[in-house]
Amino acid sequence: MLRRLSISGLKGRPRQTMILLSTIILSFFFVTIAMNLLSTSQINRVIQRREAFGEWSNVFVADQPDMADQLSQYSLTYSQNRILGRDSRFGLIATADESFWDMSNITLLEGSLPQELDEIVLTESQISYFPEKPTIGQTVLVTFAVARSDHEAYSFDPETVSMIDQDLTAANMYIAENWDTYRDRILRDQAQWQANRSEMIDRHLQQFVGYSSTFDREAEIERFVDLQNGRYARKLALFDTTTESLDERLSLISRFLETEQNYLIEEMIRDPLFVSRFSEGDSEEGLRQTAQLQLSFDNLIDRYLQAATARYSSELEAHDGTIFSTRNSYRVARYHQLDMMSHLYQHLPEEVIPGMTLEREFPLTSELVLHRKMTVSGIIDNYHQVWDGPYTQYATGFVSPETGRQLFEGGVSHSKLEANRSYQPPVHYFVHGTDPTAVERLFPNASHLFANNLGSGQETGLDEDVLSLILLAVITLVTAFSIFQISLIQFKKRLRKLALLRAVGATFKQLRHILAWESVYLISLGLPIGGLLGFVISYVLIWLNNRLTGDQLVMRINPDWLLWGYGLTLLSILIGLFVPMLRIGMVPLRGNVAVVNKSVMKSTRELLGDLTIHRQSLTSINRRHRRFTRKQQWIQLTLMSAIILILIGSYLLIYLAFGDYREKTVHSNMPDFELEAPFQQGLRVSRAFMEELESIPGVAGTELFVRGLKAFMWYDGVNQGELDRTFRQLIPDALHTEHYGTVEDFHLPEEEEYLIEDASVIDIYGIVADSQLEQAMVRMLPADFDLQSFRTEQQAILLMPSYQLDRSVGLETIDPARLETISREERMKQVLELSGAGHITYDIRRAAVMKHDQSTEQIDQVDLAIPLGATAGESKRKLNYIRQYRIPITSVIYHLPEEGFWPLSDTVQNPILFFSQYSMDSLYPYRMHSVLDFNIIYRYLGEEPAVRFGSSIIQVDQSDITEQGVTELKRLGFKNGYQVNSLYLQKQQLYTKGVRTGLIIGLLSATLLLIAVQIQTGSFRGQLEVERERIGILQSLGVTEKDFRRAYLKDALARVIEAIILAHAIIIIGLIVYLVTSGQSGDLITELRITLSDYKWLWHLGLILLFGFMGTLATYLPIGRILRRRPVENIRSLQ
Amino acid sequence: MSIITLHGINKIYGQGDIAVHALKDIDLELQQGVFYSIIGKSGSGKSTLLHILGALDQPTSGQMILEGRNVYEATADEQALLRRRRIGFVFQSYNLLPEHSVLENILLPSHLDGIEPDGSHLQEIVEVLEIGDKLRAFPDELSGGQAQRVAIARALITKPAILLADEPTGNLDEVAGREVLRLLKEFQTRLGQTTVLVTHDLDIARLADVIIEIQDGSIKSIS
Ligand SMILES: Nc1ncnc2c1ncn2[C@@H]1O[C@H](COP(=O)(O)OP(=O)(O)OP(=O)(O)O)[C@@H](O)[C@H]1O
Ligand SMILES: [Mg+2]
Repeated sequence: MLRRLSISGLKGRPRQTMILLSTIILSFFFVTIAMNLLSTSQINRVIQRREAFGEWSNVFVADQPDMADQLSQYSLTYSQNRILGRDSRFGLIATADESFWDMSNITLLEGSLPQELDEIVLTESQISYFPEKPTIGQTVLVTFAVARSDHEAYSFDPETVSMIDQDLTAANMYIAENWDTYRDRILRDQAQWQANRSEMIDRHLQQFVGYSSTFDREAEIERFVDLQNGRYARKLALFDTTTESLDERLSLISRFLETEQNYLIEEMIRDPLFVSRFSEGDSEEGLRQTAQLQLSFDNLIDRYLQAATARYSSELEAHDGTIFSTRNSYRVARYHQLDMMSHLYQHLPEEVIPGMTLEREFPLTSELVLHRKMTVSGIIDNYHQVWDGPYTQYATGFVSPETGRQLFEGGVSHSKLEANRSYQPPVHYFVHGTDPTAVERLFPNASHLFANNLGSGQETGLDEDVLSLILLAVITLVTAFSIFQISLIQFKKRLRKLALLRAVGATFKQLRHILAWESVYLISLGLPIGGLLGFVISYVLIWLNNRLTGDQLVMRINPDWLLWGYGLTLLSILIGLFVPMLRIGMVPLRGNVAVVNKSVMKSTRELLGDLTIHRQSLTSINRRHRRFTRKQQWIQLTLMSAIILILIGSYLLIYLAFGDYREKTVHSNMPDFELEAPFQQGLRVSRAFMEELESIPGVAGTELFVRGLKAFMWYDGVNQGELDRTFRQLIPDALHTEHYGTVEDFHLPEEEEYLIEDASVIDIYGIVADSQLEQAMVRMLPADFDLQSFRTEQQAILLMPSYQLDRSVGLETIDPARLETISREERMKQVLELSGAGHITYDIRRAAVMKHDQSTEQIDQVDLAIPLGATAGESKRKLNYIRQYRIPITSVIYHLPEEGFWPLSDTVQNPILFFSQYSMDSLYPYRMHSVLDFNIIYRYLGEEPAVRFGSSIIQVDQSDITEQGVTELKRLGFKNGYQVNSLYLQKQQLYTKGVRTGLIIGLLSATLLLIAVQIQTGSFRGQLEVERERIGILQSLGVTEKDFRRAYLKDALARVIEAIILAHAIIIIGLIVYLVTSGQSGDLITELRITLSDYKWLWHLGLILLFGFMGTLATYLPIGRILRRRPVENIRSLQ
Repeated sequence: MSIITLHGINKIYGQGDIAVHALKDIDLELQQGVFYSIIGKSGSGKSTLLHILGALDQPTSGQMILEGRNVYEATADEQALLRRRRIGFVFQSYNLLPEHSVLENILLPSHLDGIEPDGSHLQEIVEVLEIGDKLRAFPDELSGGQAQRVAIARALITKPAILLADEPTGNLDEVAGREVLRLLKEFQTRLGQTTVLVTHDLDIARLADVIIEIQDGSIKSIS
């Protein structure tokens, strides 16, 4: 009975029921969307990270067996991949365990992952190495080589050095023992040289064939003859001392070798071949230093070994299905080549002297080659885009751990060679997690540790999760509120009926039951409809997101969250429905509750007092009316402001959601790729390579510049600068030496130690002529800047950070723990910001509010100290020399050009010295090692040598990023010795983040907008009813429609304009709060200008106009409808 | 001289089954300066007829000629001007604007017309209606009779040719009712207006020059 009553009640009020139902549907609709988007974005973020980077946070390449113990000790999930070896078709083969497949999310394209013994999968990219596409189940012979030991026979290999030492000792001993005989041999050889002079000269001149035309033949002959004669004279002088003591003779020999070094240096710096490798600007001191390095013992050893010939030996074995051969390679130096170490040894006898052998074997590599039949079980997707480890260790074939054991424990370990038996393949450890610094912190001393940096989360201003939760909160609150409002209004209207029921004897309990049944019907209709709609729309939204961002989001539904969301919504609906019911106790029997409570209204006189009468008009009458209905006016204004606020606010928020994207990629000019060669590539070579890159479809442009290493800059008063002083005070001691370096690292006379000790640490960049960077720089510099001499002379532009310091902050050394995860590039900026001491920037947009050290404006030259530590022995050994220069400074700048310059725009490192690429060339000596003599290689290729120290960086922008384009670019990069940094992933991540946040904001505002409009129209309609009565009376008094229209149009416009102004005031306050709380530097106006620099004001204006138009129409049109009615229709009290 | 002529006025509310034929083929001629009263049972169509006379409603069919002009064929704004200048209407429920003082309410019609009312006329109205001490009061401070007198004053301020009053005495006691009636009568003679009064009180109706009786939407008699 009660049920039927409630149904008939609902049907009896179709309009109200529909409003209530639609609100309930809407709330379930939005909750469904919010929850689905939240779970989709959460789950997909994990998936995406896996897809893009794998779920490993770190990659160890280590052969320490205890690594596994330590990792499990910290209860970290990890996988152990043994690196087996390299096959010509499968590429690098590794074992992969279950957790590797779990973590890496590598897609299986065909077949199955390797589980059984001798099953192998390969990446798609390897297929092209097979003559025919391998089929699943096909058995192939896998032959892979294991570089079991890499004995690089260089000067830093102690075994090699000790062998050479033995030979030299034997040679010296021979000379000491045969003192007079050796002298005679020298004399004999000298005579021979005199006799064959012209022949020797011809042979010497052979070296200069094809050499520069400026070469002076006569002078060279003279030099060569002098050199030979000088050497003989000095050698013979050694034997002038007659002594019978062996020890004395030996010490005479070693003294000779020592002093001879200086003669050789002098010879060398006069050698046109040697000098030709230097730029004109190089000082003689620089030449001398280089010569000294070339003639150093270490370098002589390397040259000696290079001259040696290579030889191999091989041995074949087989165990349990695994055939393996062991191949050793050697360098074989012959006894006679010892003269390369010094010309003193040129005169050793033909026959091998005691203590030496005819040939000396220096072991190089020992290679183990395994052969085993395997079955192709599957093909997996390429994962180069997920690989963040060393490129040379990128495995392209995988077998099961069991296969790995069969090969080594079952095969190689039974070898008759000890070296094979003890060999353990290296192991990659992939460590699960999303914090790339975690493992680094656990194992600070681990070698070969590669953090998966790209996998780490990006921080942005607005977090999507937080937004989704806000969305949920807003939806439930608004639902509760609007349902409460609607049901309260209905409730008042229904009081009469309820009173009637009461009058016929219904109890309160029964009335409540009727209402409860109504709620049940409403919810059981609203939940499925709203939910279904929500699912459809979330699917559409995700599709839209994928279309907009190129994302591959898959809709994910998290039932837990959905239940939570529905629970909360249900609760808020019930609250909204039932709270008004509490008032059911007030239902009087008569059922006539006055709608307007008169006692609340102030008496008219109180409000108006004794007013004098002015000429009245419709406007004044309306104005008077508005004074009496201020509350309603305010509600209207608030609602209208809320609507425009939501419109503009959401547009602004969406704009802000892309803030990180704009700041980090657009304004810093972040390229899509950065290719870095660890040496300074010759210009012509780079150009050719850049052209090759540009031919890749989708590549929009390339840009080259050169980066030097950390260097030291000193000028008068370098330590007086406010910024430098502050930074030195803040930086922890531990980082101090690391950042600034210490004199202990360098060979320096004491009086020059200040050049390191007191200097400022800087970075050096070389700008290529006519590059975009050079053009941007020139635009920024004063008109009298002499570009021509900048390009050709050794002079520099100095970039100093501009800064802002908070004097009130006490300068305390910052806790080193807080700087642990901060890279050197970020350090200076972060130290200042973390301590609260201030900000630094290179951003020209902040120029107005940042200051710079005035004294630095006066710098017109600096002393530059460039450490050569790494130049001679790669990074393996420090030679600790420095080169010094006095560099004229043509301009001092404090900001980067407006176009931005990646990566400096983003980081603010140290002060920077910009040279032209040409003049930067002259700063560094040649690469001393002859191991990979680029000089020779490039001379053959007819290209300029790529020999200067530093690194070449090519930035590539791709207008259209396709898988093929990326693969091709990486392939070319790797092939040419470049490290490829895929910045586009970072860009994409930031952009996607923007889009996703934007979508959520859009959704949130759509919700709010819908609800605000609903409330607004509801309350406006209520007001109109009152208005209608007034209009009727005034109509009966003869007010014309024209007057009415004019007055109400003015009214509507005024209200809209008020709302727009109010909304903007709120937005400005909000922006200021945002800027203040987000800790921005500088003054607010500047920050505001920067923050809004790309804001589309036209869109903003468009939104305002749209709102103005719609708002005016919405308030004016209903009035128009009333006006068209007859007066009696409007005066309801007549009816 | 006839001031208003009604020709074949019909008023039908609603449609179909629930249609109410409130006025049926009313033909009526009202003479200038005559005091009319309309009587009839509740629901007989008195108010409807008065609204039509006051250009407040739209007849379903028929014509009304006011001072030679066909009212219901004129534009809405012309009708509004007629209401403002030629017709005074006194509602049963007064319909004063609550936010305006008595004086403001009274002056409203002429102010809306953009003219200052004739001072002596205003004074006369105020004196006759005895509301001089209430001019600065507000509607919610008035008694029913006072409010009714203010409503009459408002209707008279523009010296309209026709004064229409729908049961102006309905909310008043008998003494007050008679008093109001006496005032209407006095102004009618003083201003030479045509006055139409709706009432169901036969005693009051008898004070009029002409009594029009309405029954079921038709004029039953005119006497
Ligand atoms: N707005 C309306 N909609 C529908 N019918 C109406 C409307 N106004 C009046 N009526 C009907 O028209 C008829 C005449 O109504 P009217 O108000 O003119 O009567 P009345 O004679 O003034 O009655 P009373 O003495 O009770 O005021 C009635 O039957 C009434 O129900
Ligand atoms: Mg009536």
